[in-house]
Amino acid sequence: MNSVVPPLLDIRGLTVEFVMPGEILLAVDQINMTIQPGKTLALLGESGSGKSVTALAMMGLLPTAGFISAGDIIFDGADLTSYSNAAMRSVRGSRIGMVFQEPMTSLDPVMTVGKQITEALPRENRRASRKSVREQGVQLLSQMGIPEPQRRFDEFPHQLSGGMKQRVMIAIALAGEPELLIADEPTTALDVTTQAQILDLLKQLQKERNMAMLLVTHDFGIAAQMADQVTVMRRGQIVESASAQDFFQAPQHPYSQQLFAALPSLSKRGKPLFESLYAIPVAQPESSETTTPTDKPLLEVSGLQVLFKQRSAGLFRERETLYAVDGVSFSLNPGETLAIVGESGCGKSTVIKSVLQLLRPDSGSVVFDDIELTGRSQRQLRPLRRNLQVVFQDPYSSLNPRMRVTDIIQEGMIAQKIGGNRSQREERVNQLLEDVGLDISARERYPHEFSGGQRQRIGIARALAVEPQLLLLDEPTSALDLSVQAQILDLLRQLQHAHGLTYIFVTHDLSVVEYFADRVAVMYLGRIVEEGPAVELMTRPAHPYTQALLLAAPAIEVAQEKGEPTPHLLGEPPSPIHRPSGCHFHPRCFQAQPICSLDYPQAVEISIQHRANCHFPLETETS
Amino acid sequence: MLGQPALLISDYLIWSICLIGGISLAIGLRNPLQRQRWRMILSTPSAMASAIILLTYLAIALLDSVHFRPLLPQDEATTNGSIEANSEQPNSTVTYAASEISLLDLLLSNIRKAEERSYSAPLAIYAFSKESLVTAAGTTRAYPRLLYGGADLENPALHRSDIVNRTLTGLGLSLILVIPIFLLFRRRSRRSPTLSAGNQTPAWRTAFMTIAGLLIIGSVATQLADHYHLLGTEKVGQDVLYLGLKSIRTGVLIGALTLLIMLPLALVLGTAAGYFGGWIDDAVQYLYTTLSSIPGVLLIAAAVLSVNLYLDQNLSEVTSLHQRADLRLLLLTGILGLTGWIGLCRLLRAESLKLRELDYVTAARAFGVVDARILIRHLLPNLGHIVLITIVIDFSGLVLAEAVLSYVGVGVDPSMISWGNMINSARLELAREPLVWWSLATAFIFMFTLVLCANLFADAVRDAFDPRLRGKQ
Ligand SMILES: Nc1ncnc2c1ncn2[C@@H]1O[C@H](COP(=O)(O)OP(=O)(O)OP(=O)(O)O)[C@@H](O)[C@H]1O
Ligand code: SF4
Ligand SMILES: [Mg+2]
Repeated sequence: MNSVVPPLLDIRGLTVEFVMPGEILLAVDQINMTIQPGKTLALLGESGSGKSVTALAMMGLLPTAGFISAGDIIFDGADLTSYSNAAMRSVRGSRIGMVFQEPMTSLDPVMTVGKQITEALPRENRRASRKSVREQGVQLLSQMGIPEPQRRFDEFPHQLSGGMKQRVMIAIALAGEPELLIADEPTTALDVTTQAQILDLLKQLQKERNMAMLLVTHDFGIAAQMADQVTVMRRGQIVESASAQDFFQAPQHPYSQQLFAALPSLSKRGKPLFESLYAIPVAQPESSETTTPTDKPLLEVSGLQVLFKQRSAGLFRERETLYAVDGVSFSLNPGETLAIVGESGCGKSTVIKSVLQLLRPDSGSVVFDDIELTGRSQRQLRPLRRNLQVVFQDPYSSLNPRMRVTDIIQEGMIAQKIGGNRSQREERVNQLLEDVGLDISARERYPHEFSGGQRQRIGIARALAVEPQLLLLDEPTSALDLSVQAQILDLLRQLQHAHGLTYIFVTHDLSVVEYFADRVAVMYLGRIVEEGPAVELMTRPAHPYTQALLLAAPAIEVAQEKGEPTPHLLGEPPSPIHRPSGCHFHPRCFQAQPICSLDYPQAVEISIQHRANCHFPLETETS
Repeated sequence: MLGQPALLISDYLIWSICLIGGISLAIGLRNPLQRQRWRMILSTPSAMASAIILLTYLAIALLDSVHFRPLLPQDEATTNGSIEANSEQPNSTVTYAASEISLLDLLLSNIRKAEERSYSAPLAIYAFSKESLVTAAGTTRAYPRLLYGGADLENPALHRSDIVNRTLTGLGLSLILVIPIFLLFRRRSRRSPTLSAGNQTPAWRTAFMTIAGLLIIGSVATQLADHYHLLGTEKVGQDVLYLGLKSIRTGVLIGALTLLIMLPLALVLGTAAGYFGGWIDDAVQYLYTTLSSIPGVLLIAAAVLSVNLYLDQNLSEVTSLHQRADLRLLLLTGILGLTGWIGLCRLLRAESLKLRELDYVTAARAFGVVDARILIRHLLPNLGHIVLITIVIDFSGLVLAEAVLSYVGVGVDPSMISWGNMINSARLELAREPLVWWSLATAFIFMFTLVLCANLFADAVRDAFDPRLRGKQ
C-alpha cells in the first residue's frame, strides 16, 4: 500500500552461527524480513527453528558461543551489526524494547518492582526529582492495568502473580518509549485468560504509541489475533512470508499447510491430523458420542476432596488449608474420553493423582469397575493398579535417564507379575514399540537419545504394557510442538480404537478438547463448574466461566474482524487457600448477583448429561 | 612361598573397597551417557594426570595392604634337616617372624633394613651430628660415615660424581621403558578420531607425559635409593623415603575407610528421609542437627581418647603391636565416618525430596512397584553423581584431617607410620640447629601431591556430573 514509507527494521541475509565443540551450528540461515512502523510481524515456528536466536541477534544479546556471520540488521537507517557493545546498549531499551517468555526469571528478585521500572526510564527523565520519577513509574504501572499501582510499586517480584509479572516486564520494556518492541513468546507461560489480557494490553499500547512489534510465537491463534505480517521459520530458514490475511486464508508453502492441518479443531473430529505418517485409514465406528447412558460406568468418582495443610509461616499461626480438590464427582463409561480443563492450579493433576490413589483423598469415593479404591492399603491396591495407568506432561522428567527403554517398559510388567518370562516380555516390548510407532532398535537405548515426542511415545508404551482399561493423560501434549502433538493425538486415537481404552484427558488447550474429547468437565478452584458432551459444551457453554475460557482462546477465525478487543475475563484466579465465598467465580463474573456471593450454586441440568453449577446459567440458543 | 599370609582387617577392607568401586564403575559405564561423562573427565589434561598419579598412590597402598609373616632365616643345624621336611609338611618345622610385613616392605627391603643410628641429610654419606670416634690416634669428635648410606663408596671425594653417575644411569634405564610406551601412545592417539569427537578424546599426550615423568622419577630414585638415603633418615635412623611411602597406605585407608562408613549411613538416612518424609524425616533431621551442633574436633578427640583407654585396658596382651595399631586406625575412621556423614546426608535428602516428585517415580508407584525397588532402581542411580562428587571432594579433606588429628595427638597410633606422625615429630626437628627439614618436606610433598591430585580430579568430576554447572555452558 504505502511502500513509500521506509521500513523501521530491515533484515537482509542475516546468518547466525554457534560454535560448538568440534562443529559449527547454523542457527539462522540468510533470512530477510522487514517491519513497518506501527505494524506487527509475527515470527512463527516450532521449537528449535531459530525464532529466539533471531530476536536475540537483533538486540545484540546473543550468547557468547553465537555470532552473526553475515547479513545486516538495518534499524531506522543504521546497521546494528556494526554497532559496538556500548552503542547497542543505548539502542536497547530506549529504541528497541524486549519482553521475554519467562516472567519468573527475567525480573530481579531482590529489587522492588518500582526500582526496576524507573531504572529503565530514559536518562533525562531519571534525573528529575525522586517524586516525579516515582510518579512516572506508578503511571506506567497503571497504564499496564495493574491495580493499586502505588502499592505494587514498592513490592518485590515474588509478591506478584505470573500475569502481573509479565505486565511489569512490559512496563520495563516500554519505559524507554521504544519504537520497536520484541516480544519473545510473551504469553506462553501464562493461562489462557491471562494471556488474553496481556495480548489485549499489547494491542492497546501499540495503538497508543504507534509502536512496531516483532512477536515471536508458536501459536497460530496468537499470530492471527495480533499480526499484520506473518513469517514462518523452519530450521533457521524462512519458508513463507505473507500478510496475515493471505496467510490465514491460504498458506502457500507445504510446511505451512502441514502445520495448519495439524491444528486440532472441532471440524476435524475423528480425522487424523498428521496425514503423512498415519496414512493407514483406521476403520472407525462413528464418533463415540452416542454412548448410551445405560452403559455401566467404568469409573465413578463422587465427592472427591483433597486438602493440603500448608506449613504455617509463623510459629503460632494456625495451619492453613488449601482446597486443591473439593467435592468433584463424575462418571465415565467404557471407551469414552473425558477431558478435564481449567486454569493452572485448579486441581486437575490432583484429581488424577487421587483417582490413582497416589494421593489419598480426604473424603469421597473412587469406584473402578465396581471396586471401591479409597481406603485400601497399598498391598490391596497393587493387583488393581494394572487397570489404571497414567501418562505425564513433561517428557523429560517422566522417564528415568538411567534406565534403558526396554527396562522402562518392562517395569510395570515385572511389578504386576505379568507378561511371562524374560524373553516373552522382550517380545511384548517389541510389540508395544511397534504399536506406538517406534523402531525396535529403540529398546537398548537410553531416554536422552530421543526427542520429546518420541519420549512421549515411550511413556505411552510403558503405560500400555500392563494392558490398562483406563488411561489418565495429564497434559500429554502441552510440552510438544504442534506437528508432534498432532502425531501423538493421532496415536492416542488409534490406540483407543485398537484396545478399547477409556481416557481421562487433562489439558488447558480447548482446541485439543473439541477435537479429542467426548465429554468435558471444566474445573475452577478445585470444583467442577460445568460438565457435558464436548460438542455441546464447546459451542453452547452454560457457565460464564466456560464462556470466558472459550472467548479467551485465541482463534484463527476472527483474524478478519480485528480491531476492537473482545471483553475478556478480568483478574486472575484467587488462591485456593482463601477462596471467595459462595460461587468462587463471583469476583470475576460479569453477571454476578448478590446471591452469588452467598450460596454455592447447585448443579443445574442444561440438557441431558449437561450440568452447570451456576445460579444464572447462560441462555443458550438451541440450534 | 614367602611366608604365611596374615592379612589385617584393614587389608580386607581396602581390597573390598577397591572391588566395590571397580564394580560400580563397571556398572555405571554400561550407560552411554555415563561413558561420555567419564570420557569428558579424562579429556581434561589436569584430570588425566591426577588420575594416573592417584592410581599410582592406590597401587602403592594396595601393595602395602598384603601382609604376611615372612619365613625366618634358620640356623644351619635346623636348615639341613628341614629342607626336605619343608616340602612335605610345611607347618611342622618352619618358623615365621612374629610381626607382619607387607609386599611393599619386601620390595623396599633395601631401604627398610638400612637403618642408621640417627639423623642424616638426604644423599649424605656422613652422619648429621658429630660423634666420638675411637681411632688409632685416640678419641676424636667427628662426623662418622653412615652404616649404609654410600657405604660402598671408598673414596668420599667421589661422592658428588657418584650421585651424578647414578642419576644418569637411572635416566638411561628409564628410557628403555619410556620409548616403547611413547610409541604405543602415538599409535593410540593417531587411531582415535580427533576432529569429529571434538574435545572428548582422552588427553593421551598428558597421560604419556605423566607416566613418563613417573617412570623417570621412579627409576632415578631407585638407582639412588639403592646406595643412599635419598631423602635422609630421621631420629632413629629410619629412611625417610620409606616412611613417606609407607604413609600412603595410612592416608588412603583413612580416606577410603571413612568414606565406606559414612556412605551407607548418609545414603540410607538421607534417601529414607527424603523419600518417605513424615516422622522418618523428622527423626533424621533431628539426629543430624544435634550432631552437627557439637564441635567436630571436640567430638573426635573425646571419642578417640575414650576408645584408646578402652583398648589399653582390655586388649593390650591379646594382640600384636601391628594389629593394635590397625584397630586404632579402624576406630579412627569409624569416628571420622560417624561425624562426617552429615553433609552428604543433607544433600541426599534434598535431592531425594526432589526426585520423589518426578513423574517417573510417580509412574512406578502407579504400577504398584514396592518402595524398596523404587529406591534402588529410580532414586539411587540418580543420586550417584552427588555421591561421586562428594567422595572425591571429601577424600582429600580426610587425608588432611588425619594429619591434623595426629599432630594434635588424637590421630592414628604413634607407632603407625603416617604423614601426621611425621609432621608431629618434625616439631622438634625444626627447633634444632642446624635445621632438620627433610622429614617435614617429605611428608608435605607426598601429602600435597595426593591432595592436589584429588582436588583437581574432583573438579573435573564435578564439571562432568553436576547438572547445574552444565546448564551454564
Ligand atoms: N503436594 C502439594 N502440597 C501442597 N499443595 C499442593 C500440592 N500439590 C498441589 N498443590 C496445590 O493444589 C492446587 C492444585 O494443584 P494441581 O497440580 O492439581 O493443579 P493443575 O490444575 O494440575 O495445574 P497445572 O495446569 O499447572 O498443572 C494448587 O494450588 C497447588 O499449589
Ligand atoms: S453463580 Fe453467579 S457468580 Fe457464579 S458463575 Fe453463575 S452467575 Fe456467575
Ligand atoms: Mg497439572
